[in-house]
Amino acid sequence: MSRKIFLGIDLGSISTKGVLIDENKNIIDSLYLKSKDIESSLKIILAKLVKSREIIGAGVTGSGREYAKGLIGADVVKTEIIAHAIGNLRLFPGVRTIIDIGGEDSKLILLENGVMKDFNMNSICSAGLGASMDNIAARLGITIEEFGDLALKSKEPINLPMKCGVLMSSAVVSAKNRGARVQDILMAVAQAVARNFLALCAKGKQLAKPVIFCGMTARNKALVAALKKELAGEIIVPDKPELMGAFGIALITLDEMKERQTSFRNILAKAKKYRIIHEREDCISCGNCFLNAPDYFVQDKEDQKSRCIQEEVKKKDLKKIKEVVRNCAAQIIKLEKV
Amino acid sequence: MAQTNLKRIIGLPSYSFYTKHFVELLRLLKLEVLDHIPINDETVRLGVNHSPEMMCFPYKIVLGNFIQLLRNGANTLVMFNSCGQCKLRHYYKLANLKLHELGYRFEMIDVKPMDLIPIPLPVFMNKLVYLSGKGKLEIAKIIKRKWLELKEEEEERYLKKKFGDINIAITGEIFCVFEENINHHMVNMLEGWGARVHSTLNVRALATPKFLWPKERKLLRKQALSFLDEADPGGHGLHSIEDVLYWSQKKIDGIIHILPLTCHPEILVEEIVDYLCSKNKVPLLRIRVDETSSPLNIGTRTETFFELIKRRKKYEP
Repeated sequence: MSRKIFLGIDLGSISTKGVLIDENKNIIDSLYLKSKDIESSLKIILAKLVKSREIIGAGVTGSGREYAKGLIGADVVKTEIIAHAIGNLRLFPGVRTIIDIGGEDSKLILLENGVMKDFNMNSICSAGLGASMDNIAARLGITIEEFGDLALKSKEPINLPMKCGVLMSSAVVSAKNRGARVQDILMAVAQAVARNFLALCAKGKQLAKPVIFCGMTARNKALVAALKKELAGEIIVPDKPELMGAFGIALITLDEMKERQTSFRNILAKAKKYRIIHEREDCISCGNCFLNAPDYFVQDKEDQKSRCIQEEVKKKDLKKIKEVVRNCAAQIIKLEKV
Repeated sequence: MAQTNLKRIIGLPSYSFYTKHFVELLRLLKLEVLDHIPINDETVRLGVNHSPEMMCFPYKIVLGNFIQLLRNGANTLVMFNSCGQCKLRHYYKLANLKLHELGYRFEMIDVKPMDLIPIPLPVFMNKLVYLSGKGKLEIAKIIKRKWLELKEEEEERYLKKKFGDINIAITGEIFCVFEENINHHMVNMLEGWGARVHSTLNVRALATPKFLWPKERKLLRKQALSFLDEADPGGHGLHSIEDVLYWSQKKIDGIIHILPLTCHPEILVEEIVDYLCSKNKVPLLRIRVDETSSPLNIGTRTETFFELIKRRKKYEP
């Protein structure tokens, strides 16, 4: 018997993530890509991840979730905070604090006994976000992948202003021009992002352990080290920290679908074809078909009954032919999917 | 500048469901009042362009709306003056100065709580007499009628709503709480998902003297004052503390505290609201609004809060 497969998609502004899980909640495949427009990102997920698999249920999360729901007929739509909570709870049932520092927003989720009790999102400034780190890495001529290892070589991070991503970026350029070492600048940036996140998202909150750090920025070892230092304790980073949102929404979809029929549409699947079946012996010559669809039906000159001259229905004529089928007085015209 | 020879055409800023009541009130006094202009992107753009950056968002909105009304032909603008401790009492003066600086010619009328109390004595209803030229007895009759209609609508929408499966109270700065185009239809969203949204805030209370308050409200006010230096910070700061005390007793499922980004009374009481919600184990969502707020960012937070409450009730009944 074939596995039941559930799809979860996390459509962020910077990246799109897709996860397939089976009915035992195991991840069977996944995909991460830099976001394009929503439709293009979805098509890549469908082409490279879903392929020709039968999907029993599909869920979407992230900033593009409402638009995606309409495009692919997603069964479940939840915010990324809920999705991250559920995804992380599955892997770490006792988790108390989830930190997600994303490209353009960041989240803090607090849990107790497996239930969400509080959350917060950064909204005012970009200094506590992955986008700041991406911009600064680019200005220093290094890739974001090199950032973490290089920053960890720092012996003495410099001081950087907090509270504004743009001002931080200017301060970085000034520091570089004054001869500061790249590793010292990068480590300072990691520390500033960690401190900003805690100052903006976690102010006044009690961050209990265990703490999970997820999102693509969790792959940055310097940022992990900076957060560990600020929190004075261990931080757990999942194997694929960037997939927790997509994993979470797939799990929620599995739980909510039960015996429901999916409304998921694989928009890359080939369109169905239709063929006319015409039982002309019982035709009463009402004229409905040969008058309204002369490309498909004619009136036979001998017996005056209708005759089908074109069985395969073109996509553009489908609506018209369905109307003809509905209005046939003798109900002798049918459509068959092929 | 009084427009004594011209027919008075009044512009009232838009404010949720209250707008139609106040427009009708003035029209019943035989005054010409322009149809209100719902708050839109243009309102925000105009208001932000002509206000100090750190000014609270409701001021920017009202200023923007005033510009739209003046462009539509208003020669008299009416603005509420709380006479309270927060900045609001001075707003009509600031708006007047800025709009005249921009070249508009009009008269600004500030309507105080006293002007809306239907008692025919010297201190009451004076601005409405000035505007309409009518006698106080006639004005009092019309105000009483409008207050009753307003009371019905406030009770139906928020004040006397029955409890359902999921009950959320909304508190904070009164303009943000009720004006849908500022809170991006947060209440509609929540009710669409099945929540019952409650509030104790109401505009009629602004014109109700303290000695007429119910006993329960006076007690809550006393408790709220004890968290500060026994003085009112203005706005609805004290009311926000009272609300947390009140709704905690009613076993509300969650409280949303909504405020403009730079609202001093609400910022002052944030710590107290946090403390009381934590102490009473009531989930709290705080939303700060300004011109950068969007339906997506408010919608995501509101939806997550609703889900948090739903799941909490399911797993911790």
